[in-house]
Amino acid sequence: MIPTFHTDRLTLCPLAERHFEPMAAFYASDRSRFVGGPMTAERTWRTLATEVGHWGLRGYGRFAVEETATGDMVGVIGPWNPHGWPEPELGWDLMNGFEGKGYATEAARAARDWVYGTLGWTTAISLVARGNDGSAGVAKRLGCTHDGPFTHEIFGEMDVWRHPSPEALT
Amino acid sequence: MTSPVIETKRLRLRKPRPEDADHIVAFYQTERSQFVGGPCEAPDAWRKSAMLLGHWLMRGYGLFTVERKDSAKPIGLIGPWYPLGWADHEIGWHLWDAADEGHGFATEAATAARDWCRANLGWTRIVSYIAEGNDASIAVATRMGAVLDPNAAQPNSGPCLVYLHPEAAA
Repeated sequence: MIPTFHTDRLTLCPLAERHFEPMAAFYASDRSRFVGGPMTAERTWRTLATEVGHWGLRGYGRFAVEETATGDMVGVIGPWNPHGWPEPELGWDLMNGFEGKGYATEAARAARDWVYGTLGWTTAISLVARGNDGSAGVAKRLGCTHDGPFTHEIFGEMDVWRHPSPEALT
Repeated sequence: MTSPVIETKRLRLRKPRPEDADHIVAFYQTERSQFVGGPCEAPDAWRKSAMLLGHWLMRGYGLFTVERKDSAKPIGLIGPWYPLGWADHEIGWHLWDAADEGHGFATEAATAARDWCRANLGWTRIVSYIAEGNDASIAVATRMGAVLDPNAAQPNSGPCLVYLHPEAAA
């Protein structure tokens, strides 16, 4: 069972078919260029299925993040560890129109608490594509420190940001 | 919906499990995958296995893992497939290992899956999308009574042969 969490402003819940439309808008836009896009609606559907299936294969995965007050989908955020990843990461994508509100930081912090507290992770990274300054800013606000480069065979040059350890956060 | 299981004389069709991903990743690194979107590197193949499972979680059905009853060995993926962009409901099939070809396994499993789709999903018009030159797959479709439909709409994945399955017997 995929859990649901609440933060001050956000709800983290299972990704489902109803999240397709906002994801398709994001992946149709240039804002998705750091995470494999832009792409067609059909490829976005498969990307959503891949996100959902990651839960089936790993037992965890990323959450849909919704604005609790409106129900609007603001992002896809949480643990991500596909084949070929250097180690498990916390990832965040904000949907179009929800940047600049601190939502990625707020949701990623809740997801980090969950992977440390419930999944028992002892460390976590976030991979940020070179040039994705908005995402690097989120990493810094979460207390991450730069931990070298990583070259991915599909996504190319990325930076590794290392999160504070569970002990450092208590 | 509980996970369905379909039994035939020699085969068992069940929902894919996480450990099936190893077979899928290995298969997609061989030339045998050329007619179903391969070959590709392991990270891409792993994402295909996640997508396959995600299709189940989003649609409530998907390709079944086919096991031989005599050995419990999983040999391939067969069943209903209907991602965004498909013009019609499809029954798809592929066997991972050449050694399992030539025994009628694909025909036996796909025929049972087709019956299951009619009975459980209410499918009426059913097609199979087959890449030109995939003679083994054309032979399976023909044995199932499907015929080439040159006027059928194409899926968004690109031009292919569309084999239309017969209407269910009354």
